[in-house]
Amino acid sequence: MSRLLYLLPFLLLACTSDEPTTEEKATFDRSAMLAHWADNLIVPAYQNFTAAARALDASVAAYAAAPSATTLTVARGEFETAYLSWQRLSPFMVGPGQELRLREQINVYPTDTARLLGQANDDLTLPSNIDVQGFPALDYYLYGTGDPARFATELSRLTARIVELSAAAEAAWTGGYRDTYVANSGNSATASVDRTVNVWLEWYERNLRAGKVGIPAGIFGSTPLPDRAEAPYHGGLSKTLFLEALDAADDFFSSDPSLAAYLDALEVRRDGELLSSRIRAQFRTARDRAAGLATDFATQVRTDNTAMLQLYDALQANVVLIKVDMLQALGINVDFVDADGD
Amino acid sequence: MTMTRFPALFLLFPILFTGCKDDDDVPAPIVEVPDSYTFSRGGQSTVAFDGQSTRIAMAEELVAALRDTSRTEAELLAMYRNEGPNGEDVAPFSTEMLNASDKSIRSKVAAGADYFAANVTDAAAIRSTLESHLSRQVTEVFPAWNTLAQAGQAGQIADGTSTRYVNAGGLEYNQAFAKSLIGALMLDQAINNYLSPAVLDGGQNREDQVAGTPEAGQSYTTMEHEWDEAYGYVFGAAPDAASPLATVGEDDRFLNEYLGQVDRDADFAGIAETVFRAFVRGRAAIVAGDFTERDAQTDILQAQLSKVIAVRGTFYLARGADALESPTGPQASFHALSEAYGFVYSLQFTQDPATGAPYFTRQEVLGLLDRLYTDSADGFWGVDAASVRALGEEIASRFGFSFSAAAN
Repeated sequence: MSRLLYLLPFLLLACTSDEPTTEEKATFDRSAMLAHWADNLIVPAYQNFTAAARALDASVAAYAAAPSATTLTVARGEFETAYLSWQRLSPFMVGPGQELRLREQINVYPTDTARLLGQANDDLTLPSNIDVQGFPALDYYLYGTGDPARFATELSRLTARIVELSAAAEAAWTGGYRDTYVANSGNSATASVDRTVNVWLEWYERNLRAGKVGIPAGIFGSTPLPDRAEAPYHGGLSKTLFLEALDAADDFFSSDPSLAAYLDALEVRRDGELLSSRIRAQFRTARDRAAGLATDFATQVRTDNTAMLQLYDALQANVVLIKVDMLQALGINVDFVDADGD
Repeated sequence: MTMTRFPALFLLFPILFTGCKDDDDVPAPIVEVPDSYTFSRGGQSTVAFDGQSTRIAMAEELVAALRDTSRTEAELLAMYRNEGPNGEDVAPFSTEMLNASDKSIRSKVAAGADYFAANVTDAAAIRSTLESHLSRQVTEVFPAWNTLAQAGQAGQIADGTSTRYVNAGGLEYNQAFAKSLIGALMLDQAINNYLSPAVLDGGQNREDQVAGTPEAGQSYTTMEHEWDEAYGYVFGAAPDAASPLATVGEDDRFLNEYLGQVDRDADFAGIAETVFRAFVRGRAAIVAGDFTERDAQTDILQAQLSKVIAVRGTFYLARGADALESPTGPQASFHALSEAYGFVYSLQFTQDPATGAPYFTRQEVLGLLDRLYTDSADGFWGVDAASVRALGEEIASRFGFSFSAAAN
């Protein structure tokens, strides 16, 4: 008897945290949410991005055929459009995107400029060559070399590779994976909801918070690292890319029916307020803090890094709300861990 | 009635236990335990473990060289042996201090007195296994450095944004070597040699200790120095080696790193402090001539440092099993499985203080490794998640922790 009494607090704890999720889960249609993600966010993101990548590829081909200020301007414009479009796709590297390693081959930076200048015929499918391809390499060739025409062949190779990867992943999504994805609507580590939320959150932490803001601001070291900013050779694009990615994060959370609606259906509150409102408000705070920053984050960290650190803090505040409060309420386990560095 | 009495009784327990302990301590010499690993005689520090810091530094350079394709097999072996094929002097390291040293990694691999004093057969086999990882890295993996690996083909695999280099079976020799060395060098020397009563009580050590007779030309006694040498294999690369807990996990890529990693797992938090305190207390007991207390600390250190190997082995098996089932498997699992391979190999150097034997014998370890990896084109390419998890469960259960505690 007395032994059992000691267990009571644990039993009570277990009850309070489990009750809302298990009981209410049935009232929220997870399949409808997955269909929304697939049909209104992910597949359109692939379609838009593949189209943008093809336009970029064509403009680079036109530039290679007839290098001029005009064709270069067009190619640079398509580069900006495609890079922006990528921000909408990058959060969704689940399924084919993960298998084909799209993000690793399209946007790993900083790029290795010495190798870009030296040995242009690297096999782009090799894992060791992820930092000599994709947008960061295009950024260097188009804006950092002084004479992009010298690299016309390389530019074409790189844009063709992006088209190839994106088209393959898009074809997999539209050719059957979409239905598999929506049908896998259970609640387990390998179910689509759990996987997508994990992939999105890992992207938010690593690519949005750390990659675009924290690392250039020197948050993981002692001094700011302007050369680690996104699109450093363009020199005026990193804030736009960041804001687009932030909108993509917010849209995934807030569009209907998505995680905000799911949390509301479970009436998840924190400090009396709906958790979804808290998270949305935090996205707004981040957007507000970014508004006053320089268009180039490399410039921003050189001139006033404090403002950049404040943006980081705003992004980090949402990591706590999402990773702890939201995941607990939805009964989703975090399945990614920090690499241990070796 | 029972309910009201229980809490009161519990309150008394600590007092009762403390009371007993104090009584036991009365006849023994008084052990003065300092806060840091600081001991002196006549105003001079008696703490020294240069040889261990040196070997850790040599091992760091050798492991880094395993990813440098400009290195030759002869160079790697020279770093391992710190001598040439005919015993001639070599200078394979980047610093004068290491090149001038007469120490080597190889001479202390599988050289712990408890297991290998009368078993040079196994010692020789272990040394050549480690050597073969070095040779095969150069002969099998270096030539395939810019090739995409597949079953039966050495080369690169992607691991997130990292690139790993594997043999035809998917094994990273650099990981197998580094993680095997943690057991074969650092752990074996620490817990099966320098902390072993057989070594600590060798020769005239006890008499010298009680009389306070230092080694010729030194401030320390032989027994004190031997204990320090064990300490050096765990904390010898720490910037503040007297108070090393602030940086534990960051001081080397061997035993210190993984003591720190296990300590950061909430299920095993405090293990680094336990290990450090046992080192300090045991060393203080030696100074006081309390050899019973010294051996009690040896027991703690053998159990805890052995557990570090088991927890990390289980952790990487669990991670590898998960990765095998991921969309990017099986390749995505090879890095974790290669680390696991080395940690499992290291289990043969653990010591259960209750038995004086390893938690897993060498034969058992070779059996576990056969189930994890076959030295063939199949290798990790053919392994399945369930059998990898089963290995982890087996290790966890033998050591008495849960698989899930180590896995997260």
